[in-house]
Amino acid sequence: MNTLRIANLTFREAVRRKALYGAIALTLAILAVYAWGTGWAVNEIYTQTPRGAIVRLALQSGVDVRLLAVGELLLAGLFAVSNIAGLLAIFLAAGTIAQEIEQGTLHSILCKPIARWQVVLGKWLGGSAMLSVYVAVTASATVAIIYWHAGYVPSNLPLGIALLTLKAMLLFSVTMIGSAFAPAIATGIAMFIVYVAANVAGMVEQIGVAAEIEAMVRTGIVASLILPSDALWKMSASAVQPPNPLPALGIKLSVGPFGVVEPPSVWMGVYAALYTAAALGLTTLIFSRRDV
Amino acid sequence: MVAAIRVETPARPEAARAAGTAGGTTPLAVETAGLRKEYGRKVAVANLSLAVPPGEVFGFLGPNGAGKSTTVKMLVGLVRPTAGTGWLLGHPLGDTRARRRLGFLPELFRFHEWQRAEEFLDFHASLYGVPRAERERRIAEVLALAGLDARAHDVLRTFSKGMLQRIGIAQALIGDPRLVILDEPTSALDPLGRRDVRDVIRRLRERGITVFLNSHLLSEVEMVCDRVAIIDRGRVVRQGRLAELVAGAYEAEVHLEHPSPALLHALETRWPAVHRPDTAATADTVEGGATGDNTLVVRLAIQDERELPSIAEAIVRGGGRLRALVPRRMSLEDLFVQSVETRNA
Ligand SMILES: Nc1ncnc2c1ncn2[C@@H]1O[C@H](COP(=O)(O)OP(=O)(O)OP(=O)(O)O)[C@@H](O)[C@H]1O
Ligand SMILES: [Mg+2]
Repeated sequence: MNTLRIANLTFREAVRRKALYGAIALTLAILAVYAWGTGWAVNEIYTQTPRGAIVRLALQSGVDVRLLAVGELLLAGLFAVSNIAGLLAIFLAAGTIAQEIEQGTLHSILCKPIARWQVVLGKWLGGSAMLSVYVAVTASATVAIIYWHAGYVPSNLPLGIALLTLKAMLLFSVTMIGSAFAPAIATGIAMFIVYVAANVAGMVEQIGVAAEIEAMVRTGIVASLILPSDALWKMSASAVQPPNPLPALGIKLSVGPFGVVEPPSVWMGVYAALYTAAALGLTTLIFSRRDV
Repeated sequence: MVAAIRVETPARPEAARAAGTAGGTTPLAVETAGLRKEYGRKVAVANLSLAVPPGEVFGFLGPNGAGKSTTVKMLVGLVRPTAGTGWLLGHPLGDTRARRRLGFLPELFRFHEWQRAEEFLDFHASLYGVPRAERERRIAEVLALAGLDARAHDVLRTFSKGMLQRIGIAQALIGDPRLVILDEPTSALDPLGRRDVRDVIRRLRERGITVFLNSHLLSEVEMVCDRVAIIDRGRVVRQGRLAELVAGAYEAEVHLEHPSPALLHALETRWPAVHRPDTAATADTVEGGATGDNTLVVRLAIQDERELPSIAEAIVRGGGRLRALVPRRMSLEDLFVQSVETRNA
């Protein structure tokens, strides 16, 4: 019960201090630009004869290039949502315990009959609820824009959104570890660096898969074990992208920069969930020993 | 989960020893044994052993940096002791049950400022597990007690510092506590607010609630406390009933107009001077309200008030002009200064 009370407090704080509104409003503004650009692009895709050697090659093999292009536009939008949600998770979580200790707002809470793990779990639940709202609203808007312009419906939208949400929750819990012992800014910067590095490692893995260079693939896999955020993005992308015809042709390439050739297995999803839980456990352990 | 904790950490048997209460079953409100806190190499609290009987107002005094706040933070579970243990209402420190009937006003009273006053109190009441049906009544009660009835719907961001301290006191009382720990509850309050807080403390005592008061406002402590402990640099230097600590030490404050040296000498040979300014018309004369008119204030040690007529007689016989003769107990301030200075000497 106390856990839910803290969750509720965390969520309401985000709403009342307009942090959530601001993030959603700004993202929707970006999506408006996205909608405008997408309209143009889709128009061009469907009304003009495609140019470019690769496209002509693909058309000759009977591939629906237009659908692939639309899929790529969708992934571009979701890629933005995924990264903004990820950074939002990092910066919200970085301050969640650290700032409350600094400001002293925890003093009057921790002296009540409440355990430290309840505070940690409650804050994570509240943050997760917030991020879920954010991801649901902005990802749905992205999908709606594509549907509106091109009539494309992703094959497994709920799974795609769920995985994006899990990614944000994962980042929130991992960042909380830092928040339990380090100042908010230090944690935020450190996690930002780790997050970017994980994304880069994910790209290296993609290139390794395409070029069939084992060492690059292994680098990527190790990186996703260290922080499975990019792996979750890849799983999400693979759930919403149009079927990739290239592997069947013996080419291990994604359709565009945002697409995925070989999505991580479902076990990576399980690993990410366990990882999130472990991060919460570690946060509790550190926070329980911390003087406030 | 809770049941498991209950089995693992039984209430301390010794704590069940009565502290002056009939029946012998009421545990001490606060008890610590060798409580210690080190920050790196700095010892903030050194082997502190306190015993606070239930139903009393306990003053915890000490100069800045003595370790008062660190001690109460250990009591309420914000800070982990480096060594030693303690019990609140018979439950070991750190046990959430110890905090069920505990109210605490932190020294740093900062709250979630986006909350409305009643919403803030509702949240804290819920943390104590106060049933929803009862919360509204409780909230109205503590708001009235804190003198904030008119601000119930206002957002805390709009509160002044003193009002935030008041809502902090309200928050400490919302869970129907048996023990209230206040860390400098009047630091931001105006004189009326201070008097209000004293009234609140007295009312709590009437209801049998133990109050643990951190303060260095000695006059305030003197007015409300039954028992005090004075700490300095993390160690208890005095502890006991206030009345006993300052007992037997009476003094007479004598205000004299242009006293002759002979008269002063005569007085001081019979009653040792506790305090006498070197020259007339020092700051001490202002104390008596007779500014700059050469009134000298001498404080003489006496056994009890029955000696006052003899002093008056001696002054009149010596040709002195007596303006005022006030019997005083040795003040807590005297005790405090004496205790802390002795240690520092
Ligand atoms: N977090 C901390 N890190 C390091 N030293 C600390 C910390 N908190 C307190 N101290 C030190 O411990 C000692 C006791 O501090 P504490 O705040 O308990 O004093 P206090 O008696 O409450 O003083 P005051 O009357 O000024 O409120 C001080 O010397 C202080 O510098
Ligand atoms: Mg203090």
